[in-house]
Amino acid sequence: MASTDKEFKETTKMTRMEYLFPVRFAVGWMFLDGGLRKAVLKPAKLDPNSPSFVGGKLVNFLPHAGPFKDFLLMTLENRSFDVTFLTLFSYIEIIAGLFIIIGFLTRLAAFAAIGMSVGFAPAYWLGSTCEDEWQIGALLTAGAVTIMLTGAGRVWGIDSLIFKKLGDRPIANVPILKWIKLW
Amino acid sequence: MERVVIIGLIFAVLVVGFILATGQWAYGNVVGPLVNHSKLPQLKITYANSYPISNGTEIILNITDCDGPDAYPASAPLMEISNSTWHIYLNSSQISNDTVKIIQAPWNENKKDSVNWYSGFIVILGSEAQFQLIVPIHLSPGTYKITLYTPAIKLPKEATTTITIS
Repeated sequence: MASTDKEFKETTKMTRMEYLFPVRFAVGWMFLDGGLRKAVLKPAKLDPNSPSFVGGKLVNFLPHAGPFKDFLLMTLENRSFDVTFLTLFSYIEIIAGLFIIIGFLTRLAAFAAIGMSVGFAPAYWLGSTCEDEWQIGALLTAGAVTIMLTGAGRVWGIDSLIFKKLGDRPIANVPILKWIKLW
Repeated sequence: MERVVIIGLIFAVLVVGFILATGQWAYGNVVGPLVNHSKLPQLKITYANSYPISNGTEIILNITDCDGPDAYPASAPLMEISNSTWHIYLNSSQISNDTVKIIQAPWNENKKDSVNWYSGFIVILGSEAQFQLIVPIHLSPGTYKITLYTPAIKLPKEATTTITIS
């Protein structure tokens, strides 16, 4: 494995993947911070009986939510689903964000990050001073797609250690998925 | 073509398409016209009804806020009832005092619409509520226009509806 790693890093056509870390940290921290704020730093945000409950904020997305409107209405009118959905969302934010930063199962974590950044498209129209939510969503989507494609770059992360120990592993031994490397 | 290049192209097209499409959808920032629905509030009256009662007139208004910032609610501190020859204004404290019941829409979770003496009607972005007012005035039979005035909003964009007293 060591020679493969050395050969890869010495390939003159390749840009060194260490340069990817700022993007990994930025994308990862945005999700980790979003999850920590709700689940750890202010748990009232996930308490449906609290005025801080973020589930209620979904109502703000309704007016221009387009095709997402019915899903939002169903979520808002079903309190237990809303709480479960937001609690799960927050913990996935924490796990995916942390994994992207530390470079552990980076591709899978970035795949989850794509789902979350695309998933808040109903809020993209909100931005009273500039195009706030859309800019956040667009950058996180592009960043997460990039990280999903590159993984952690087999540098500066747990994936690189696993690769050195175990070598390549596909996500699953089925068509298409066998082309996607786990780390 | 290498598989890596094909995959790169596919995701490049997807990401570029997603960014341009959502930007156009949300702000019209690709081919215009530019819009920002999150800038100014836009109250709308989605349902109205009225009927005379012994101590005045009961007016029922379903009000929603379909534009504006999410950080603070929209308000209507002034309400006008008018026909071609007559009109009356209800100020914020009259709106508050005359509102006898507010029924929240089922999708208003912890964000509730309300009234108070300073802001009149208070409506959270995206929410909707039915405000039931008993106005201590006996309106003669006929059709009346109701206008809710929101600060900073131009007259053609103020929320309006008509009610009929029979």
